[in-house]
Amino acid sequence: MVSSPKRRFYRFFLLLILIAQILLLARIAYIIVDGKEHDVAYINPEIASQVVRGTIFDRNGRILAMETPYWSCAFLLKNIPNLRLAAEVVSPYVGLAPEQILSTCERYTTYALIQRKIGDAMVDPLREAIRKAKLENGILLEKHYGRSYPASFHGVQMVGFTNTDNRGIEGIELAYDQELSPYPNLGETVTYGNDIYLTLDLDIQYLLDLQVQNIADQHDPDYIMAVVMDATSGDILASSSYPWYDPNRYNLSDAQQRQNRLLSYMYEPGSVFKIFSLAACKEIGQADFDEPFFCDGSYTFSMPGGQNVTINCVSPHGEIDSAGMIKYSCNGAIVHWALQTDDQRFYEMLRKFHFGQRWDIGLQGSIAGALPAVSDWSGRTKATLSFGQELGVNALQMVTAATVFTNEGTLLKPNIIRRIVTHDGTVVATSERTEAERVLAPEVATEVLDAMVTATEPGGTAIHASVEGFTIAAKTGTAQILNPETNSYSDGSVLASTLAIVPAQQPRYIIYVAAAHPKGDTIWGSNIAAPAIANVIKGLASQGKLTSVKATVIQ
Amino acid sequence: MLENGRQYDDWKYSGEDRPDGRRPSVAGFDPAVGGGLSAFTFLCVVITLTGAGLVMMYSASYNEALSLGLPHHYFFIRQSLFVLLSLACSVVIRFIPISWIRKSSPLLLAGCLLLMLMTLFTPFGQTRMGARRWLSIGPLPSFQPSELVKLSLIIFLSGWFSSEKSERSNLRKLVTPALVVLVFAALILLQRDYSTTIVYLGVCLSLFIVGGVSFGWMALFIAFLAVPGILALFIAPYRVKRLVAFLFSDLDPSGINWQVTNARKAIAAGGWTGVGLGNGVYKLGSIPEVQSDFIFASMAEETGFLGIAIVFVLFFLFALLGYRTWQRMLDRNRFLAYLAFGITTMIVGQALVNIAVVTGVLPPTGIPLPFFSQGGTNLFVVLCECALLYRIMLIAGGRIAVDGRKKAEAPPPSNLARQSLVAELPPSEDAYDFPEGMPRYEQ
Repeated sequence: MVSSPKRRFYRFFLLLILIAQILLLARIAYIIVDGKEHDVAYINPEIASQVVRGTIFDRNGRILAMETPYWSCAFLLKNIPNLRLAAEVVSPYVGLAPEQILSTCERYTTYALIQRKIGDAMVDPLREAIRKAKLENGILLEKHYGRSYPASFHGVQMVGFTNTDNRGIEGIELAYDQELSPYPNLGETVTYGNDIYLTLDLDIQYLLDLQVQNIADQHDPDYIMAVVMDATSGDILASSSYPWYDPNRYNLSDAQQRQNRLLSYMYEPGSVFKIFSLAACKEIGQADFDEPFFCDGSYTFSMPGGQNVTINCVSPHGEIDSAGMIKYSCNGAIVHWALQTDDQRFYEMLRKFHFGQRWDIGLQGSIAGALPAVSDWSGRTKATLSFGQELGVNALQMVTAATVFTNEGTLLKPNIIRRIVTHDGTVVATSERTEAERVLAPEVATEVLDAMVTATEPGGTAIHASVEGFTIAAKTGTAQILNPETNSYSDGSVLASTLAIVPAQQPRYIIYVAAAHPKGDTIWGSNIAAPAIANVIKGLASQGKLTSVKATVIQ
Repeated sequence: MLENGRQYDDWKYSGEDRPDGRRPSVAGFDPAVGGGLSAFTFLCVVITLTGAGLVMMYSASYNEALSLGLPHHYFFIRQSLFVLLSLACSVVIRFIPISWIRKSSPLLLAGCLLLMLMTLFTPFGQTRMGARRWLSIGPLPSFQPSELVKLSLIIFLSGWFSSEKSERSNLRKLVTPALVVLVFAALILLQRDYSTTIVYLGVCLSLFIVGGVSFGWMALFIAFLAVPGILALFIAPYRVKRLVAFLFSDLDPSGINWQVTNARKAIAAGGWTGVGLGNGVYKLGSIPEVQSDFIFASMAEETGFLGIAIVFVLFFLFALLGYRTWQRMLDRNRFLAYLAFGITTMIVGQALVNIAVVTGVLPPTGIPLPFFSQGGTNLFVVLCECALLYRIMLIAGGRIAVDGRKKAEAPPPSNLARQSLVAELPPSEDAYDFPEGMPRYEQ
């Protein structure tokens, strides 16, 4: 037939649409088939079902915190026909009265945890009792892993503790929670957390804690902070913060006990601070040390406003040089020299000792303290700063600043983590001796150290810190504690402290003990802290860590 | 045409071969002329498509609505309101005289021009997603004037090509409509709607072809278009980016191709039978704006190849019935014939281009899927076009007169057969133009 052009258009357009539709359908079919081919079945990845929290060791590999299995007892309430009978069966083994168990059960509908931890000795007898009562389906004995702290209260605020879910709550357990207890890994059945070696030495920690407990028994202070630091590396070897607690029973502790005062307690350091202000004055070199200062028991100077200020000493000291100032802890002398020194440079030197700056050792709660800037000074601020009042420090800052004298004028960074090791022994991280800043010329450091030695000589304030056979550099201090409520020093509470460096010729340990608000028959740092330090040194000698000069002679 | 006093109709019932060697047409079916035509079938197709469209639109849009802080049925209700509005409009379209429609085309064009200019150059125009396509006047819902342009221009071109004036010279036939088409193409282009421009030009071009413009002139016209067209393509960096992303899709799997890549995944996820209505997941944020231009992906995911095939059959039925109407009316009223052709091509063409975009055959552009995509103006215009097409179908089927009056009775089947036979007559120019309102083969 002959069709007109218009008829052909009809066929053309209809065919066009048909072809387009067929091609598009083919395209869709291709996408579906292609998509099916590329379909990858989702396979659940194998994830470790158990994470074993890493162990915390001291520097010698003694355990501070570890994972231990424990058994807990729980009731599946629907599988127990007679609850009272079940309660009576387990009662003697879990240490709960049947009534207590029943009241626990009443709070739940299906699963009731009766006792989280059962004594190890009780587990087998309890299992036997359950078997005899034919209650295996209803009473569950479940094995869990939890934290044990064999060192108990020793270094407890540093180590911290974990909660019932085994997550870190305080101290290293909190700060290094991810290291200790990482997320479950792929392709493993058990994921092990990293082990952490602290710089603490349990032997020294024990010595220190013993003395802290002694001070607590004899003088009844509110708080005690005590540190032993390695003089050459900045490692914290022992750290006590009294009052303390047992991390195995952390639920019985209170906030005062859990506070790590070494890092978080700010106080005015008092006369111990004179070693730093003396070093600052000597390093700046503006003070006149050649002409001895004469102390008649008080020192008066006029403030810029013309008002006179009098600083009192405990007793008149007569002619005083820089070593004598340390030996007798003369307020007048250090004020005299400090006043000869430029304000800004004096302030900057103290900043160099890291006062007013936060030490980051990886733990929460480390404070910066308070060192007022020159612009905030009153007429008497520099004078009072020089003998350690009107500024806030923490114990860590004090003991770390003393590394300046044991490292030829260089300030070290404090360490608490010695190394972090994976389960198979690969070292992940280590902390090395780190020099923070060059503060003093070596001669100045030596001069101050020598001056400190005179304090433990007869007549010196730190005579009680001396131990026969050892050259000990020390400085005592008895600072007034500001009552924050009344904003005055008037209530007479003091902080008795002593800082010692031993042996003075070749310093190995820096020991610092500070007791806040002692309520016994004496309040002086020389009577409270200095004897404790002497005892720690004797202990170190008995452990063979320090060698007495006498012993050398005998050999 | 009559041999021995016999009419061709007689062969139809005699079972003998016709003298021209063709099989006699049975029950009014003659493929050469467009075959059977049931306006009721068309009505069913349109209602099915609209209903399915609303259902799919709800399924695809509730998440988007919720994420915008709207009630889950927001887009569904909005779309349904436009369906009701177009229903009201359909009643008007059913009864206004056809001559009015034809005569009003210059007025419609002028109105469209005004709206387009308002969109572009007055504060009433709204810019959404980088395109200034929406017009928002007072309390009226915002709409896209470019949608109205398409319908107006189809009416205008149909009127132009069916008028006697245009018969005189090819030049006259081509130049005036070409100029009008190009002015509007430029305006749509200025609204940064390149894809709509292309679909619109494609429909116009097909109207030019069926309108009888010679191919020589057409070639000239296309050459004339090609230069500014390609310039316009490369003048906007985003178009070049999209084109590059389309051609080298691996270079940019998460950028411009994001929608297309995810649409592909959705289609693959649907498989042969689909995941079930409402069970799709790709609409839940994987494909941005899924309820508008990418609703096909959601449909494919939920109803699978099977559902898609049904939609394809519906669209093909739509095209078949529309083009038959065109053929049927060609001998009686060329204006209505071209109108039927233009409307059918417009709707089916849009659907095919949209599906091609979603399946990654064409570069990603914003062409809505008629009946399905969320977008009030588009649905309204599409349904009005369908109403017009339905009316033309009724006229073609002899059910009503061109002037809109209902006929006393339906014509006998033989009548249809006759039409088909007469269409076989050697074409004579004057034979094709009949006065309106007078069916030719009234016995």
